[in-house]
Amino acid sequence: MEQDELLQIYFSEAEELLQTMEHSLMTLESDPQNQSVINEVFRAMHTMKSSSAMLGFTQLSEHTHLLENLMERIRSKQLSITQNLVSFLLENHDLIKSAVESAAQGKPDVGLDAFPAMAEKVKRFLGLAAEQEEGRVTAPITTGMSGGQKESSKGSYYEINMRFRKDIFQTGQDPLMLLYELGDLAEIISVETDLSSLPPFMEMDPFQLYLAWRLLIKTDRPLSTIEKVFVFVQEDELNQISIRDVSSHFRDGVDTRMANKPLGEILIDQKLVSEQEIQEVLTQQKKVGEALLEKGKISPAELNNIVDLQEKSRAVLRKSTVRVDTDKLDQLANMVEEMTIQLARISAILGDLPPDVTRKLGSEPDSLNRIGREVQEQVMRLRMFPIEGTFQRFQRMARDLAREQHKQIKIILGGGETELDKDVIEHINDPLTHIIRNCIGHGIEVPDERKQSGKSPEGIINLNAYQQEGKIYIKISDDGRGIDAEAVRQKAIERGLIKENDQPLPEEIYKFLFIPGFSTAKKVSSISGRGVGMDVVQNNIQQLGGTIDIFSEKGKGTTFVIKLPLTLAVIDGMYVGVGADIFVIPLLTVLSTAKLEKGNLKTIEGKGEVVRLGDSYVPLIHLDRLLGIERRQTDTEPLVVFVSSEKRILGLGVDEILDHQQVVIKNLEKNFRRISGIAGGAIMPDGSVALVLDVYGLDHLFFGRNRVHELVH
Amino acid sequence: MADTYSPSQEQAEGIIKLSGEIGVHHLDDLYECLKDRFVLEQDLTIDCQEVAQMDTAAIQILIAFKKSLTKGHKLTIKNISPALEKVWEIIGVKQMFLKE
Repeated sequence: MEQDELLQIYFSEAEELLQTMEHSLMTLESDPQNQSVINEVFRAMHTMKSSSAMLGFTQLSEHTHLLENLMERIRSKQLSITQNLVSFLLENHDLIKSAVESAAQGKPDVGLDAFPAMAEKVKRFLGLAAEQEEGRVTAPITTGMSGGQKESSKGSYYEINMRFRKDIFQTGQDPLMLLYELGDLAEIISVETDLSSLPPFMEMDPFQLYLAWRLLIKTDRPLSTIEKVFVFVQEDELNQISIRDVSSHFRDGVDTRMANKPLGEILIDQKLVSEQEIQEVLTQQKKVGEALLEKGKISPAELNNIVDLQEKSRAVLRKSTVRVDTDKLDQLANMVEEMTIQLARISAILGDLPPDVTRKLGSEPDSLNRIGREVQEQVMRLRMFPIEGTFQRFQRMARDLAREQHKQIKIILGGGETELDKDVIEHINDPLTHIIRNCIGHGIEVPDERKQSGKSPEGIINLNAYQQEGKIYIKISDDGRGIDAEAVRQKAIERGLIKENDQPLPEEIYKFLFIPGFSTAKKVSSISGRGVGMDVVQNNIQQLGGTIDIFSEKGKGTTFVIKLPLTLAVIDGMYVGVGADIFVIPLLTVLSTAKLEKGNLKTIEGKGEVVRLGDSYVPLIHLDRLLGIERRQTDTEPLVVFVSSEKRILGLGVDEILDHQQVVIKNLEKNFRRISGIAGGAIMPDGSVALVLDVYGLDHLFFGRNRVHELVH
Repeated sequence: MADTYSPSQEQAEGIIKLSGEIGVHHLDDLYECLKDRFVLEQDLTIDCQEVAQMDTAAIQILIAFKKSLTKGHKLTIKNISPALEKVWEIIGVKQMFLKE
């Protein structure tokens, strides 16, 4: 492998390790006894040390070696974790991070001068530890591996499902004997007993077998030997035995399937709790593990053991992933897209062939198209990343900011596993940073003030992400002082945005905060400073095709809700014809379509036309007029497509509705400037380009001129 | 080894003492004896001190009994020999019996 390539791998691995280190250190601050987190920091330091040495970053390697020693002391309980120690380790983390970043920018010697002084400090900590060591017995390090997984990683793993005929006892056979036999040939890693067919005690026939089993075994013996165990029972068709090789799911003796399983499911699998118990705790707004502990359903040791196993599973899985340059991913996506376009063109040609030819082709073209679509979906999924990493960065930021401002803040993260398109993740960072800074700086009060208003001294910021109705929601809420709606209203009057006696709804009032420069004036503090740069936040989010809303209650807190499209790249689109042009309307925004009949139209003076939808009227936008397109003289009656722009329902006047199809949105900004109302371009099956409409942008374009007026109506 | 099994209730109310090898031949006795207890809706303790072995059918009866207990009633199994524990582990119900 080229040195350059090795370096790239090193830098991206280092970034990940540093992120793990930082996150784990923050966890240790609140949970200093957590051995698995301590182990994680230790492993990260260790890996960092080895790979730095391999690539010749000697000073980095030496320093991380020292830190590894320090972690070893902590790991072996010779040194206890304190807040100061965590801060010190975080300082070290920052130092390493900046050195790695300089090296990545081709300046490997920058930032190294701070290392000797820091190394001295680490040594002092180590010296201090040596004193503590006296009179203490070194506790052995337990890795928390469960009994079944401690041997070498050789051998195959099999999953065996056994369900026997109900009257098996009458044949003189007992499944227990088979289980014993298996136990002699293989290591039985887990036995799951299926009790689902077992009737209530009073209704059971004790001579019938209701139980079934699923076993996981590990063995060096060939499959045929295991099959021989069942040779007699398998002769009978009423006994259902299946043996499946599941070795591919196991790495280093760890079941990688555990990595992505919810904790509750693992606990059920391990028979530690029942499904019903999980259902009960799921209704509470708490983490499953915590709730079960509180109810005494599991012991802390049992929970730790499972969490540890899952962590290992994740670590192993991480190790088995492949790093791919995102440029390569984009290239792949482009090629797949071209392939889909070609497939669509071929389909169009095939449609014109004589029936006897198409009959011969049968369903082949359809399957080819289906596979093409699946490949496209998979490639698009490669671009999706969990938002967890982004969220975790904010935890550190919040901690540091809170310390600076003498506030106590706890960040609660939720939905970190929610996946977002990589482009969205990259662009969402700035707006989120801005909002969270605002929450900390202006939302959350200092502890004394909080106590006075009857709140706990520790302020809480909730960061949550989830998927709903084809959209990604990101919610940021604080339990701080909230926005003073009246102060904002006064400000709006001052700025001439509304009249003295206008009384808009609070949600509408908060929208003023997104107007450029609205609150950057002097009296910022009177409206708790919100609004500084909020216009930039809104712009960033709109560029991603999303929206942002503010909800707030004075004295109770503020919530920001960001809604984003699931992916920027692929949408289901409705092709519509306007004049000689074809446009694509994202299907998600389409509510219904109708003929545009004169009787359903009304003109409102100064506001343009409205069209009837059910019992109400909605604004009508003639796309040809708005986009400056010459209308074709056609015989067809004009149509209206009703769409939702988040703010309101709109009717879009079009000439014809053509087709529904999945389209890949191409960014036009590389070649053109950003056009309001247009989200991008899409290549049509015949190779021509159609513009994809951005309904939100159209709304903006249409109502933009009367924006302030419209905000309060 | 000969089958020697007897559920006896000579001890205090709410305790059943099992002994010997509990297998398919004694299912009726075991089931009937537990049925009598089941209708009383009481806490029950099964003493296994003298149990040498148990087969799947017998274990299945105990599982059904435990699963069907009304809320608030408990089945406690005491004096479990290592051999018995091993059987339960192989059948996959050890956790279920040893918990509580």
